[in-house]
Amino acid sequence: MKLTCKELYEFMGDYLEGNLPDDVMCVMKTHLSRCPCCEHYLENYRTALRLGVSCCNEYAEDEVPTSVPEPLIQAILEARKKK
Amino acid sequence: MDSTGSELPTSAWKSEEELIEALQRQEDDAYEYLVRAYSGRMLVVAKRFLGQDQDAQDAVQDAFLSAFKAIENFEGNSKLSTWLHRIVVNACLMKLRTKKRKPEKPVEDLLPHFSADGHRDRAEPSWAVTFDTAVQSRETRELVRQQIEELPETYRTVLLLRDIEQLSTEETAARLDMSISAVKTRLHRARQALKTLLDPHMNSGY
Repeated sequence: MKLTCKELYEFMGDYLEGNLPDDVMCVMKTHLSRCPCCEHYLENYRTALRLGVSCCNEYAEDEVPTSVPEPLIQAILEARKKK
Repeated sequence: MDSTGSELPTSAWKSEEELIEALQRQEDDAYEYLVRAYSGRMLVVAKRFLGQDQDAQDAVQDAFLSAFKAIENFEGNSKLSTWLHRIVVNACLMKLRTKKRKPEKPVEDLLPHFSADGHRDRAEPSWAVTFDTAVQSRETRELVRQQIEELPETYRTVLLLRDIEQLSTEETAARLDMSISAVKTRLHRARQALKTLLDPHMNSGY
């Protein structure tokens, strides 16, 4: 069994999660060991994913605004009284 | 009191449990504290899903009103911040379901292309900037978040639920009323698009 680069790209998500059958994992590993283009793509794809998770979760406090629009706060408190 | 989502001031309520009890007693100052302390971080989550417009503020308002109704039965099995986070994500998904969709930018331009024999049409360099270096830079962290916001909405939503909120594929599919295979495909495309959007920065080596 052989995979083209295009086919390998389609399996990347499942490959990273270890969700592929052993024989497909094995073929992918062989392809990656011989194809720097796919190896780099997978590495960059994985880094992009890790960056997304880290920047939005571990560094979430970066984004918290120093102040929230006062009209929004007042609207929420007013809406509570109306309920 | 501020609106930054900071931890509880010990002078007001000695613990989260005390704050929850005050909320369950319907004390106005506890409600005001809750809104001022947590609305900032809830707005951040809502903006990720809905963008910078009024929809995000509306989702935060809807989320607080849902929380006010549910606080009576809140048993403290999770932290208040975690509970509110879940509620605002639900409010965002509800908004996405009901809001009129704008035409999306096609994601195809951000996906890799292949020649007829299945090989990539161009070489792929290894990024010059490592994960560790990138994540230490506040500017890069901001850029990553901006590029997530740039993703077409239907792709961004799947990426946010699966990768950022860490829902399972099955749960994401159920929440978005999509098939499991559609979630997998869209997630993969979203990650590929994010990678492409980060290429110029990560290849430049600063």
